[in-house]
Amino acid sequence: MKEQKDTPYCHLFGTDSAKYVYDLGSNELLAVAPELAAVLERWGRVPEWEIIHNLKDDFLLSKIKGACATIRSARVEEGLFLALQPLLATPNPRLSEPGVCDSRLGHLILSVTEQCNLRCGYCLHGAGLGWVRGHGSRTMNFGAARKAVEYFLARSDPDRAPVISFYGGEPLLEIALIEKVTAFARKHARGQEICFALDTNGVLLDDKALDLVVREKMFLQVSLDGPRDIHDRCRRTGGGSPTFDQVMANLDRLLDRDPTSASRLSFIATLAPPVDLKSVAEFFAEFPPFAGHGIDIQPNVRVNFANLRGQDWPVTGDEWPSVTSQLEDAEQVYLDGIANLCRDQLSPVIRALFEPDLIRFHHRHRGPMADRFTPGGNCRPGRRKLHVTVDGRLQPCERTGNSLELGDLETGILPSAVRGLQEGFHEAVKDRCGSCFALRMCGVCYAAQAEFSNTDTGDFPVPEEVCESIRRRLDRTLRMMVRILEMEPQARAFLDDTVLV
Amino acid sequence: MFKRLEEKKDPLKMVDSTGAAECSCPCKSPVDKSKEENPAANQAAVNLAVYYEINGKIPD
Repeated sequence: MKEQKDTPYCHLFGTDSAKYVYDLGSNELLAVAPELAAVLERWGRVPEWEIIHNLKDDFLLSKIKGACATIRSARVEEGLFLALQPLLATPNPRLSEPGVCDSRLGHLILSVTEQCNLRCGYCLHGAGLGWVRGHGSRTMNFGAARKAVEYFLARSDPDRAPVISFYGGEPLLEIALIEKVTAFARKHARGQEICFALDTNGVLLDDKALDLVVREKMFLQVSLDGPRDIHDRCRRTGGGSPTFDQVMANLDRLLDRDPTSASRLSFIATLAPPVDLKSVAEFFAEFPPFAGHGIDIQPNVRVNFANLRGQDWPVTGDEWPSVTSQLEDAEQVYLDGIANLCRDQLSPVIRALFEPDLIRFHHRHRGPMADRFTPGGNCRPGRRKLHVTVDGRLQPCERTGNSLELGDLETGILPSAVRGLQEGFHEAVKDRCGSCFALRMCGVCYAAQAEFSNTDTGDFPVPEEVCESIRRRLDRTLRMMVRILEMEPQARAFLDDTVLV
Repeated sequence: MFKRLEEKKDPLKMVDSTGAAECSCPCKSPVDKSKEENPAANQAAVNLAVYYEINGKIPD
């Protein structure tokens, strides 16, 4: 690990009432006195006498000198405020060796079809973008699916239940194939442990599909954007018909058959301009399908903002509150709910907007930074998720576009491809991660490279705008986190009641 | 002049984080322990949705 000048590797930030430091070397969050924050901001950038000179109008001289002494002593005694520059490295080469790179796999994703019965306004697959798989007519054949399942189960993590999920297009267009695959997989030695999941728009959940979902206790992720007017604005059939009523009717029929399926349901709400966060939050807080069946759990909701890059999307008028101001309001609602011990009464949408980042931060490694550090969230592509395209190509996940591959069903996961992806990612980010305050919390991965790839030139960049976005997001999480940590212990106890899986 | 806001959980320095030790894989999903009927399956359900989270797509 190299020293970088003498500048502390820290992120300084403040709320209305206090100053804080996120210290990269120790990965700790600290509340700091204003004079210490002011000195830290300048330490290593200008000589100490100049710091004192610059701050003498704002603080007593004794306070400024005290802050300087605190930095020196905390470095030696506490390992805080260090000026570090870890050696950025690709993942350990052992992780890409044969027998390692294709072992302990967690989650197989089968894209069973490129076809979809809907043409949603914001769908990447229907937008004619070069980097992403478009809608097409191809489907996966059973031979390929069987081969993928055999390959995956033979290499699945023995300590966890293997997960097989079906993706598309709309996977329920291939219900017969899904039935065959589930039946085949159940016969495997690990068959009874398998968790099946299905990512669906919910329109084709007919009796046959419901039979399968209930029988296999499938985990369903249903795309549902909110109340009727919001959902139907974008989520329409190819012929332009709305889909909300059909989806809700199908959910009712599923819950009629098996009320326990509520705990295996999750919803993905995609927000597209003009965003009406309040209406979406209220809809999922009241969630009619659960309320109608006397189910008193909150729906599991994930919130996405539509990725409209490269798409022709009408500009939202000024009369509508900006997303930023809506998020600020939602943030305050969330923090008030936590402070008042009313977390359970918050809309699942409000929680989904902020909690995943807060929980991830809470469970971070809280200790000194290693001398060698791998940037990003990509230690071993294919292990947590392995995506199989309709034509049998293997990818790190279902969101890595058309061009990032790990091999195919003939070759399996190729060690050289794994290493190639790791090195390519490292090459794209190595020059700027070493001074970034998001280094230890950064989840940028191959999906970003895929989105900005140029297959003509073979470039797979991670643009600065992606990094900026990650930093903004971490800064917000830090500001929220310190406010929560300053609350009564009872208010933040929920963080310890969570795990990362 | 400063105060730690959290308990220090991992006092030992890792020699090398180039493995999975500190990987911040965006596919890791937070789950309430009380709802942790089956973590792997919960993961399956939510993994399908993390793409925009991965890239921090919350707009300005």
